[in-house]
Formats: sequence, C-alpha cells, structure tokens
Amino acid sequence: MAELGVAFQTLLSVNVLAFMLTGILAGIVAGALPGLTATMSIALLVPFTYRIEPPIAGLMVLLGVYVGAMHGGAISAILIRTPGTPAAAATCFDGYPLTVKGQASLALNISAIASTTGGVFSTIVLWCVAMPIASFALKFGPFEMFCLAVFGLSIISSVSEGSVIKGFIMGALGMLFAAAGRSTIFDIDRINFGIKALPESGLRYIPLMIGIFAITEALSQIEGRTVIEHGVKKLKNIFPDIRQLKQVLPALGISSVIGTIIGSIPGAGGDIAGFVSYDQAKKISRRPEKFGKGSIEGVAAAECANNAVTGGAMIPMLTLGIPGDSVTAVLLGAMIILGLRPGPTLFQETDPQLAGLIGGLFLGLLAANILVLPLRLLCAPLFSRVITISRHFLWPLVVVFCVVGSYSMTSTMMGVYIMLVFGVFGYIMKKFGFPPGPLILGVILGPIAESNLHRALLICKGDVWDLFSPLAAILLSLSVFSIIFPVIQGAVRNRSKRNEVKKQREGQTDF
Amino acid sequence: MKNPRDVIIGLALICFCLLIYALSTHLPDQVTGGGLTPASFPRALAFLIIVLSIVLIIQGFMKSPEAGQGPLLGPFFGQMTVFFLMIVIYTFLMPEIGYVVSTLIFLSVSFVLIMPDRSFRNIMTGVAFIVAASVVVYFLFGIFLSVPLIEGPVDEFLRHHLCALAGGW
Repeated sequence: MAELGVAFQTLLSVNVLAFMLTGILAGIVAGALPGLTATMSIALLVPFTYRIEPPIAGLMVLLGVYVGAMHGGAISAILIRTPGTPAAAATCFDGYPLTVKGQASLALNISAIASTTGGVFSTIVLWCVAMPIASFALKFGPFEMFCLAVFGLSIISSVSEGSVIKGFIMGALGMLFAAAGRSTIFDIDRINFGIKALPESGLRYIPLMIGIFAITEALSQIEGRTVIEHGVKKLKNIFPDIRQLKQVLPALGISSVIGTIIGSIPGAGGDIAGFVSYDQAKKISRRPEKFGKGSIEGVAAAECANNAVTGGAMIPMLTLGIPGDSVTAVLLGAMIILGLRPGPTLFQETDPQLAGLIGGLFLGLLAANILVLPLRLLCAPLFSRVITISRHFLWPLVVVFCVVGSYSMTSTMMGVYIMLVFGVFGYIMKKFGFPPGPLILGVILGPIAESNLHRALLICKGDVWDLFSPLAAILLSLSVFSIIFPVIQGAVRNRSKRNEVKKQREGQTDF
Repeated sequence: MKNPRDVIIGLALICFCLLIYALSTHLPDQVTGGGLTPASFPRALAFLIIVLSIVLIIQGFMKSPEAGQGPLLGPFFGQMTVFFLMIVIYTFLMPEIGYVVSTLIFLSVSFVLIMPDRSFRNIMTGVAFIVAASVVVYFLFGIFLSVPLIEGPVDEFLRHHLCALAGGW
C-alpha cells in the first residue's frame, strides 16, 4: 500500500505525466495508421523507454502507447472502414455508416467515451483479482510452473491466424531461438552457430521482436503497398448529448464485462471481444434494426469491449506470467527488461523501487485510460487528419528507429544484425503463411518451461510420476483441450462450408 | 502437389532442424542429478518441428492453399529488395561514418526510391522530413534520453558544440 502511495506521488510529477501523454499520442497515431500496430510500436519503443529516468516514466510511455493504440484503431475504422488494429474490426460495421451519414465526429467521440469506459472497468477488475490469483499461483511448484508454461504455449492454436500447424512450428522455433546462445541453467554456450558474441537471452529478444514485427512489416508494406483512398474532410467536433449517452449505457455495461472476461482468456483477443459484444449489444438493444446502418450502440459496444481487453489481458500476464497475445508478450518482455518478473512472485517484490513500479503499473493503466478521453474528445478533428499522413515517409523512419533501438539494447552492432536476420526471417515466414505471434510466445515461455522442467526433474530425481499433482493434471488437461478445440472447431467449420457448397451445386444442377 | 509452398518450407525446416540436431551432438550429454542435459531441450524441439514439418508436407500434397493466399512476390518486390539492401548498407556504414551522416544518406536515398511521384512539392516535403527526422531522433534519443548512438566525426562535432551551448544556457 505504501508503494502505491509512492507510485501515486511519482505518477503525479509533470515529467512522468508528460511521458505518458507522449506515449498516448504516439499510440493513437500508430493505432490510427493501418500497418502500424500496437505490438510493433511497443517493440520499437522498449529500447528507448529502458533508459528513461525514473523507470516508472518508461513504463508509462509503454502503457500510454498500448492504451492509445487501442483507441487509435477506431479512427481509421470509422473514417475509412479500415481498422487500424485487428481489435477495431467490429467498429467498422456502424462507424463507417455514421461517417457516410456525415456523423463521423459523433462516432469518434462515442468511441472515445466507450473505449475509456471499457478500459477503466477492466483496470478496476485487474486491481481486484490480480492479488488473489497471484497468491493462489504461489502454491505452484516447478512442475506446475512448467505445466503453466505449456498451457501458455498451447494457446498458440488460438492466436495463429490460418494454419494451426504453422502456429505450432513458429512457437517451437521461438523456443529454439530462445535456447540458443548462453544458457543460464547450464552455464554453457549452445547452438550459437559459432557466434561467441550472442548477447544473453533477455537482451536478445528485443532486437528479435523489433525485427519480426517492424522490419518484416516495413518490407511487406513497401513490397505490396497500396494507396488508401481516405477522402477525409475537415471535421466539425460534435459531442454526444445526454439522450445519446443514455442510449449507449446498456451496451457499455455488457461490453465492459464481456471484454474483460474475453481479454483474460489467453489467446482470445480484442477482435473476438469486439464481435461478441457487438452481437450481445444488438440482442439487448431496443433498436436492433439500426445495427449495421450507423448505430451509436454498435460503435460503443465494439469499442468498449476491445478496450476492456487491455485490463483483462494483463490478468494472466501479471499473475501467471502467461501473455495472452502478441502485445502482452512484448509488454511482458519490456517489463523483464525493466527488472520486473511478471508471474506469481510479482507481488512478493521486496525491492522498494520495483514494488513502486508494480504500483505504478496499476495506477498508470488507470491514468492512461482516463487521460486519453479529454485528449480524444478535444482533438477528434486533429486525429482524423492522422490517417492522411503518407506512409511512404514512415517506413524509412521506422527502420531508423529499429536500428537505433536494437543498437542501444546491447551497445554493439550484434543487436542490429540480430534484428536484420529476424526481419528477413519474419518476412520469408510471412510469405509462407506463418504467423509472428506464436514465435514471440515461444521466445518468452521457452526458457520458463525449460528451467522449471529441469528443476522439477532434479527434485524428483528421475521418478516422473512423483511430479503429477491434481493442479498439474488440470493444467495439462486444459492445454490438451486448448490445442484440440480449435482444430475440431476448424474441421467442423470446413465440413459445414463444404456441405453448403455441395448443397448450392446440387441446387444449381436441379435448376 | 497441391500446395508447393508448404512442401518447400517444410523441407527447409527439416534441413534446419537436422542442422540443430547435428550442432547439439557437440554438447555435453551427462548431467548428474536426473535433470535435463544442455542438449535435451533443443533436440526435443528440433524433433517436434521435424514431425510438424512432415505433417505440413503431407498437407501440401493433399490440400489446396486457402483462398486468401496471395502471390509470393508483391507488385513492388524489386523496390523492396533495393530498400532492404539499403538497410544492410546503412547498418554497415553507420559504424564507419557515424549516425548523423549515415542516417541522412539512408533517409534521402530510400525516400527517393519509394516516393510515389517526384513532384517539386513532394521533394521539398521530403527534404524537410529527412532533416527534421534525423535531427529529432538525434536530439530526442542521443542527447535527451542518452541512448548510445554510433558516433562519427560529424556526431562528435555536433555533440561537442551542443553540449557547450547547453552549458552556456
């Protein structure tokens, strides 16, 4: 509690707030521009935030970017029917029709209010449940921690867009890359391809993330670039009135809860939360016929849910050390760089500076969610101009950031070369349909799985059956379920698609 | 073969994992106490990737690619290759001539390469952007956040004079 007070005082200082506002602004711009994602922006900024003093200010920049990017995704979804982030996909359904009706500003302001509501609600839930879950997880032994890491890896099947097998291959490759170089468990160099200067794992994965997310994206965007016709006109700022706010209230209530719950399930991201909430809001609405034609309730439901995911996704990440998606995986990496150890022991931290950082994390998330509201309401017309920025200028600048950031992590060119190698690797794998998210999960969870399995085997002295506890059995069963369920779901979906096609063909031949 | 891309990448992954397996044979095999050996984890992962790659190859022979699969090479593949080569040159040039000069050269050349139309207005915007971006990154990261940047003669000159100026204030 004392740490929370100290964190609160630190947070109120002008320079920390200025850093957070900078992060929020950068996040909104990144979120609004299709192609620039929250994951990529956070990966790019980690090396710089690592050097900001006090360290809490660096953390605030990252949280600001995270919250800002989730907000920013709505801007392009509403104005040009292109979601800036995948989470804003459902926002297009009603956001763009409102723009067509000349009510773009109203849609943007409703989305700002809804996003803030969802974000604040999920942060409060995070505050309430984080400590009890972490206290329970403290009972986990090394084998349970290994099973937890396996469970975290099993969600790869959910985060893999397209082929599940390709997702698992990327996850396994991620673990393999994390195992290369100096092993802290065995104090030995392994699989280093003769390169003795490989930095230690923690310092290596930031250049890896920058390469995979930023360089890969820059190369892909330049290769297949298309000009987005925005046609955005100057907006007049229209605020929603009391009647409109009352109208969206039920949608906000249900979407906050759905978004937080879905966010806390590893593998289920903001896009799923947006679609489910949109559907539920339509069911409880008095005007369901307006959905899809420019309903402010539809915009509110989708935006509230995808921002409620931010706090929800932090629950497994902070309490169990299991990142639920690519963004939280990169955030987790950033926290490790800052000295924090997300997981069951996070709240046992005795170092006053690190305990202050943990307090600041909770307060910062809340503050970022609140601060972004006036910023978006007052600057809606300005943010609408963001999407008119020519992206041709951006990619060379992104590359400069990548090089400077990767160099600064290790103060050697090795970081830059690692970034380049993984940029090309990510680009090639993307061409062959391999998703990047599972690779990052593998890089982060691989060392946790290996070290805990090694420790568990040392404790049981080779008698593996001694390791099994009811908790381990539950975690392993959940892992098997989360691997098999999406595979069965996909097979059922394919079968029903085939049946539909067959029926259509039969219908055509009858005709 | 219905999906050659999956077959090709599957074979490449198998070769890579065999290489990993070969490298792991040089690691010590015996560790006392019943725990893992340094080679166990990389070998298990290499084996897992080989099994999954075989499944991928079989799928490549039996299943057609998904409808959303685009062409292997995009419309601006040539420009992208040149852009990538420029990044490589930039990273090798930076330790020789320092951050400021190498960044100015990289931004100028890449801007000319990917600019959609080379009108006077676009070129002027580009020049302003290149200078502003280089200076902002240098000030923000190199001076304000003390991020280590590779220094060449121009960087040293800039830092020396800027620090003297800041000291004067």
